[in-house]
Amino acid sequence: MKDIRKLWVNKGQKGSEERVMQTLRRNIRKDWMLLLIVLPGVLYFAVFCYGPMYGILMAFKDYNVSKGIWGSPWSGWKHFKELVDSVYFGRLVKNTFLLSIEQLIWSFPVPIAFALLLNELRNNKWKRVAQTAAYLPHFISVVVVVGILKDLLSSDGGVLTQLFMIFGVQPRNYFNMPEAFRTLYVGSGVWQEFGWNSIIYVAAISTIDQEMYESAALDGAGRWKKLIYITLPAIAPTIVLLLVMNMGNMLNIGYEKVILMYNSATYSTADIFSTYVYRKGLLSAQYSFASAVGLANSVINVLILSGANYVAKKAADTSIF
Amino acid sequence: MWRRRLRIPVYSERGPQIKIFFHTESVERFMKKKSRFMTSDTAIHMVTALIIIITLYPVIYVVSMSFSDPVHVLARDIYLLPKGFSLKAYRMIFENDTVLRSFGNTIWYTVTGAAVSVTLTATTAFALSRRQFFLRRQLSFLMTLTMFVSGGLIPLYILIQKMHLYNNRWAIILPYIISAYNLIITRSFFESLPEEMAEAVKMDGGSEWTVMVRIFFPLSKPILSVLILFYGVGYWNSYFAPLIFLSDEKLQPIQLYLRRILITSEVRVSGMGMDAILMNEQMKYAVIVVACFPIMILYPSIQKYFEKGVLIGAVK
Repeated sequence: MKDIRKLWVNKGQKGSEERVMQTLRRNIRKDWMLLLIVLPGVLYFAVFCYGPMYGILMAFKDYNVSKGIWGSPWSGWKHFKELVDSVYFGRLVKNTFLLSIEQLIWSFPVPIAFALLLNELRNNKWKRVAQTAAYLPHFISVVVVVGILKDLLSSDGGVLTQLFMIFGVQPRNYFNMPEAFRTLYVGSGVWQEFGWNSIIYVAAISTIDQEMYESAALDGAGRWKKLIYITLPAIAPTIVLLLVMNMGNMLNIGYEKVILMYNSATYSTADIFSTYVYRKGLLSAQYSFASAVGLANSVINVLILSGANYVAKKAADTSIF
Repeated sequence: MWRRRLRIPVYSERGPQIKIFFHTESVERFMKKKSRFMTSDTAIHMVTALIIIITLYPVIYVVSMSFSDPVHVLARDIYLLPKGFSLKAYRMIFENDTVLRSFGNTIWYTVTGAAVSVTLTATTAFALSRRQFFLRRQLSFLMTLTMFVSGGLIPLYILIQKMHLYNNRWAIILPYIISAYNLIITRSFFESLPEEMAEAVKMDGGSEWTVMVRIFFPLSKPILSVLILFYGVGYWNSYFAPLIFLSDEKLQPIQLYLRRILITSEVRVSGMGMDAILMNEQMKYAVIVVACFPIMILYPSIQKYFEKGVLIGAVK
């Protein structure tokens, strides 16, 4: 960023523009090959990542397909007002937050616990088997995960239903029960991703100097002492960093999976901002309104991210920026 | 070796002191063996075993269902291992035109998508990893930013329509070519390669292109395999992009077929009688197995690379 800032500072001075152009020309002559190499990537990001950001303008307009984004009439905050006044607004806020918080509470600590467990396994063969098995669900598509979950819980003879019946629980259609939705969503998410998310902690643990464990053992430290005083402090920065990143993506909750799991019977707990965007925008073609909902969601998200980042910076001296 | 003997006196009730010499290594081995069977170790192994069972059970169950005799599938009395043996469901899949076409589409999307993605991610990451590149910091910042902010679903949808990509095979590849996360891990990997070799090439009058193709890429087998795996799995498993961008059934990948058969239960085998009912039940398990198989055999071979700290670059 420094170079850009320099450009601005020098702008007012006499002849500076020429000098800037000269530097630029020299740089281009020096790095023309790298520019050529990076060009396709830059094009991709410009068109497919920054292009849609221009499309956010739609949220402040009454988008009309024939007039295009720029040609459509401005509507100011109309769509945002409509969202806040809508009967669904409270429900959307509540569902989005509860689902992301519940998700964070369960899916964040489990991988850490699993990595610590793996670290205690001395038999390397066991360790490999456990890791390979734990990674497997990550590579299964969400469609299949939700499909298998539906099958296991199916009210006519699903394996889990049969298991519950042994304990006297009557078969029920859990996918139509609003109170079961979050548990199903978070539970299957933990099953699918705990092994995968543990990789980063396993890698962090593997960088710990083994001599520390040896000298701790000489001083009579047991398994717990070593875990609490060596392993955990060593991976603490990684934990904080990932926590901040997870919080930053909190409201970007995996709506692709929600769309597969919910139905009109469970909207009362399952409908979140992004699924609402999908239904309003793509199924009912209210493009402007849906973009406004999406934008509101992103803004809240960025606020949470910067809040989490600020706290992490103050409390643990770690930050993602 | 003999110098490292350990002298341990052993006291016996029967007589005077008898001195026995132990070899240090065998003492160590003995102590290790003893500690391995301590109770906490047993507990740890049991917890691990439980986790493995919970993780693998649904997968084994589906495989067993797909190979069992359809009668048992319908009766739902299979709990772990297959009962009876039948390949009827698999034969049925491979005679079904929709399934075959969907598979063909998925393979096309995966191969094309992964090829384009890996190439562009590697080249872009290479340029961003070169320290002397004058736009390095600015471009890195702008590309990383896309991890946290995006235009959202609707603007992307409008963009795809504007570009006349709706119902076009490229609609589910182009918007997802480079992921910022993969770009960062690749850049970190390139940054860890020795700069001296690049300098040597430049000395001999080689360009950055030569450095990239002759020096960096041949040294990058770990990161390139990881990229192929990540992008390949991404395209293979993607269902949402095809759902919103490809309404033409002829272009749809296997994941959308799976969605119809597993989630919305729209697919029914035509025909009457017992056979059709049996097949409707069993076919879904067989399709799941076939749709997951290629990735299941691919990832363990690449596992060693993503465990070796390739991913930690993203955190740092």
